[in-house]
This record gives sequence, structure tokens and C-alpha cells, in this order.
Amino acid sequence: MNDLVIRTRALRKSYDGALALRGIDLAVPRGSICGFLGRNGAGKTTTVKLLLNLLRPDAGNIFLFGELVDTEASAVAARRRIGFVSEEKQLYPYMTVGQTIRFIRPFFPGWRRDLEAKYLEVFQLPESKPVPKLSKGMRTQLMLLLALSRGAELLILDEPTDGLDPAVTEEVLQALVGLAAAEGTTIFFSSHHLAEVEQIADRVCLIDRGQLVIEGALDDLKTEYRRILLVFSGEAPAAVASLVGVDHVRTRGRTASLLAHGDIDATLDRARQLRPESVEVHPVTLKELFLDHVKEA
Amino acid sequence: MLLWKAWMETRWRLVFLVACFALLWVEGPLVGVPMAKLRAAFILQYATVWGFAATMLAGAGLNSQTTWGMGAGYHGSMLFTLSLPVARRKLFAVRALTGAAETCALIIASALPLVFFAGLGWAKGSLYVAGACVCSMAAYAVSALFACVTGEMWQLYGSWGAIGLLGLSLRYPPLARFNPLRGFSLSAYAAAAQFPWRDAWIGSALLAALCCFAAVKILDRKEY
Repeated sequence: MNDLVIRTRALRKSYDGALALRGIDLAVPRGSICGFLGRNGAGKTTTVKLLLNLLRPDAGNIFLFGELVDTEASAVAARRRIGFVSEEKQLYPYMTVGQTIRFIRPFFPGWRRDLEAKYLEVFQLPESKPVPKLSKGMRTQLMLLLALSRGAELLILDEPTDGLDPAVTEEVLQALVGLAAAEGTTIFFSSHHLAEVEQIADRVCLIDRGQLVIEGALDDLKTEYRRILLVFSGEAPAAVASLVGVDHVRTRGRTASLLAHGDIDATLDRARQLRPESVEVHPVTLKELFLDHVKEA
Repeated sequence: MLLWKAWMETRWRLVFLVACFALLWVEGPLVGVPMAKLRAAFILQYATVWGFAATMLAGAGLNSQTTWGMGAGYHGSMLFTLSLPVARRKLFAVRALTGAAETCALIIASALPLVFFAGLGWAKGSLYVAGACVCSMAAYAVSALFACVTGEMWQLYGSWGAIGLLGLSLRYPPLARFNPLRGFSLSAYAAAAQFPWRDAWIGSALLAALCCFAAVKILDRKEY
């Protein structure tokens, strides 16, 4: 458990009786870049807030850096090692960029002046500029600077690139990858931009309707999952839906598209017993995995 | 640094209030109204004015950061503050103590001329100023409590409503005895042979303590 920076066990949360999280078991290893995927309202922000102790779970446990976080004191200790960028990216409107940095610095004994100077230059943030006069992209960059410079072991980013133009998005993603590579920082970021996740993440967690539906290393998932296309002479038989090893099935007329995982050869053997006219096997993209798992009612 | 942040959040409110109080002592008419009339109005209503000042300075807390936002679900910079490695109680304590100190400073500065004009003398005068500070803490604490649960506007409406209720409760003798508003009465201090409003002090201190206790309990449990 000690090499897991984030670990949750059977995490549940409801709002006014409506279940937002239905027993989440997350495991994020140290040094990984973990993309936390899901549709709007799937439970991403709720999970992030629970990790930061902004919300309290109805049931279940949260372990950060191997320590149980169940009190205000343990949450404060954990937050000392965490950098956070919220979805809204709002800072204090009565401060300038420089004042904001000087305000945050003393809270973090491991503050990295070198990283502060580096990202001030990379992001071209003018220290004298008041926060309200920053564009959304610049605000995001300032928040990232504050998160990156504090020497955090874990970055929790809630939709970090939301609302940014492609150029700024690329700068932000490169900064994250650079930090993970140079400092070994663990990055846990929620997003619904699949291309970004595929670009920088080495691990993904997919949440849907408050449940974790996929979790694992991105490469392993891509190896483990295959798209099997079956074309039949007549209507696709209903039996395809109950094939062992098949996660999801979409049928349209004579064609059945299966998302299979595990022992693909064994699944193919079973599919061939249904006597399709043709069988094709394709690798899957993250987008396909996402769509197949969240489309089901 | 939290102290500096609290100062940054409240300084314009304080400047505004200081300017309002300072204007009372300017000679000559203000927008056509003779200053003597304004001063007389203030002297009649200084308890209410101080109460309002206290409620204004109790704002600008954690929840007020959500006020001028983009609609429901907007958190402003509150989430950023809460993600700092600082306990919620500490955030509240620093903010509350800063505003309380500003309120007391404002009341002391504006009460001294009243004491002087009333010819209260040093002993009674200083007692009166101390009493005004203690009693204003009741209004301040009520407002600080509202600031823990609502945004800026409702915090003001709620605390003004609470001050209004305190005013109404003056009509009911059993409640009036401990009413913080009685502790502001300059004429009572001037007329009394000895310390007149001990019960109002006790009532104010109890109300302030109760509100602070409730605010801390709410903060401990509140979900953001």
C-alpha cells in the first residue's frame, strides 16, 4: 500500500439521498500520471473533493501517501504534500500574480524558488498584473505554477485544461509531463478530453454513474481489450450478447461489434461457433473504451 | 500570511466605514444636508450604525468568495483557500479576529468624540467605549456566523434582520435586560452612578460566544 499515493476503499457519497459515488476503489501508484475519466456528473469532482476533505464520505476510507485521512489534522497534513487546481480556477481577485505567489509560499516548506522562476518565465506571467485581469488561460497557468512550485508529491487537477485554447493546453500538458519526468510527481487529473488523457496519462480510471468501470495502466488496457467485428449472413444472433469475455455488444442488422477483454483467442473461438461470415479483430482506442463503457444505460 | 489575506479582504470595507465616520466631523453641508443634522442623526442611531459596521466587517469570509460568481455551484476562490494546508478553524479564527479588531478600532475611534462631547470623564468614558466594543461583538459574531453559511448579501440581510430582532426584543423586559443594544446607551452611562449595563455585557459576551461556537461547529461539518 505504501507505493500507492492515492487509495480509496469502498468510497460512497450521496447528496440528498441520491448516490453520487457507489463504492469507489481507486489505486494510484507513486509517480504515475493518472487520467480520471467520466461524463459530466459521473462523480469525478465529488471524488476529487473527497480526496481533499472538502466533502466527507458517507462510507469507505481514503488513504493518501499510505496514511488514512479521516480527520481534519490528517487532511491538513496530506494537503501540505498536494497541489490542487480546481475546475473553476478562481484565485483572490484582490491580489496580483506576485502577491498570490508570496501569499502561498510560506504554507509550503518545500517551496521551489527555481520552479517558481522557471514557470513564471515559461508561462510569461507578469508579477504585477492583478488576478482579475488575467485571462482564463493565464489563471490556469498561475494555478499550475502555484501547484508545481510547492514541491508537491501529488498534483490533483480537476479539468485542468477546460476552456483553454489548444496552444495553452499543449503548454500545460507539457509542463505536467515535464514535472512528472523530472520530479517523479504523481499526477491525478480529471478530464473528459480523451485525447489529452491518451497523450500524457500512463494510467486511467473511468468512472460512470458513481462506479469505477475501468482502472489500469493505459498500455495494459489497450493490450487487454480488442474490438471484434462479426458479420453474419442473416440477423446477428442474440447469443453474441452472452459470449464469455465480452464486455459490451452493439448489433446492427447483420453486424455485431464486441468489446472483448482477457483471453481474446478464447473469445474468438467462442464467437466463431456462432458461424459468422467474417471475423475481424481491431485494437481499441481510449475513446472506444470510454464510449462502450458509458453508453450503456 | 492569513492575517495579511484577511486584511486584504477587509481593508476597503474599513476604509469606507472610516470615511463615513470621518465625514460626520467635516464642517459644512454634505450634499445639501447640514453636518450638524447628520451628526445628530448619528448620535441618535450610533448603536445601529456600529451594529451595521460590525456586520460589514464580519463579511468577506470564506463563503463571501462565492458571492459574485457565475451562478449556482460556483465556489469562487473558496476551494483554493480550502485546499491550503490550514485547518478550517484556523481560517475562521484569523478572519474573525481581524474583523473584530477592526470593528473595535472603528468603534473606539468614533466613540471617543461622543464621550468627549457628553463630558463623561475618563473613567466612565473608557468603560463606555469598552462596553460598546463588547456589545458590538454580539452583532459581529451573529454576522460572522451568517458568513459561514451564506454568501455576502444574505449574510448582511440575515445579520441586519438579527439586529432588528434584538431591537424588537427591547420591548420585552425579561429579554431586554440582557440585550446587547442596551450596552450602547450613552445616556445611561452618563446618568448612572455606577456601572449600568453589566447584564448587557454578559448577554453580548454569551451571544458572541454562542455564535462563534455554532460557526466553528458548522465549519467542522460543512461540505464544500
